[in-house]
Amino acid sequence: MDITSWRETGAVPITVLQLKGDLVAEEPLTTRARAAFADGARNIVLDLGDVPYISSAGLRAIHTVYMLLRDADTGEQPTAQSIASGRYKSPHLKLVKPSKNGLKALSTAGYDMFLDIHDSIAAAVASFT
Amino acid sequence: MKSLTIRHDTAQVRDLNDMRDFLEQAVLTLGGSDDDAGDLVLAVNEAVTNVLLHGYDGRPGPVTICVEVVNNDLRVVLTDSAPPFDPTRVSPPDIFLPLEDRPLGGLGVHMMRQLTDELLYRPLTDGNELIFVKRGALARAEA
Repeated sequence: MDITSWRETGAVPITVLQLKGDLVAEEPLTTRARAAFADGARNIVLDLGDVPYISSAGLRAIHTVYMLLRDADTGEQPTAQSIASGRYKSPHLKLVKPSKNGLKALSTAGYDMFLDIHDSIAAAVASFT
Repeated sequence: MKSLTIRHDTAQVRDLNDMRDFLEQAVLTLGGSDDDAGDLVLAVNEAVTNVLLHGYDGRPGPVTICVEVVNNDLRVVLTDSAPPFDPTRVSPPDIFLPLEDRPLGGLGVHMMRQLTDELLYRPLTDGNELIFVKRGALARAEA
């Protein structure tokens, strides 16, 4: 898997991680996300437009990125009720254009309940407040 | 009964991509839909990954995937020679829990269950057999 990263400026500073290839392992995504975090990134867009396939190991990587950003957040913690009702979406991690297969993996795991999914990087960047 | 089979005598993680491609094409060739092919690829990939990483502990080992049509059902039969492991006995995760409260991982078996109509396990003399069933898949594809 190849990952390209860059910064965007929206309402807050945003780091885009553009993934290319199947997401079937925790690496290299978690290492790249940790490096971005160490470099100050607190809001991340994962561009999945060139990710044909996501396995449970790939979901674990997304989970790790979510936790990385969540652990730095002192705001209100989500509850099972707020997630199930769709009222909670991560304010720090957004996804872009997962494939049909990727979307199926995300929805089967319930990740689509708390992660915003956008059609474009621009839309994802604009969604940060 | 129509069926298509792939066997790797020394399967490794690097072979997963080939197995996914075979599975998708086999389901479509046998008359299944794109959706059923996608579901089965996701489900079976999780099972094979478990076999390779945990059953064989990362060492090469035999894996056979047979896609077959039984009446209007599509069945994928996965056989291996790993130590006995019955995924149907694994407790399901609570996917409504916040991620903060969920353990990392544990989704593979959940995906196997959710993406099939039936998941059947049978211990073999020297390994395991796992059957993934999509009921009425051929009738659905023709509709």
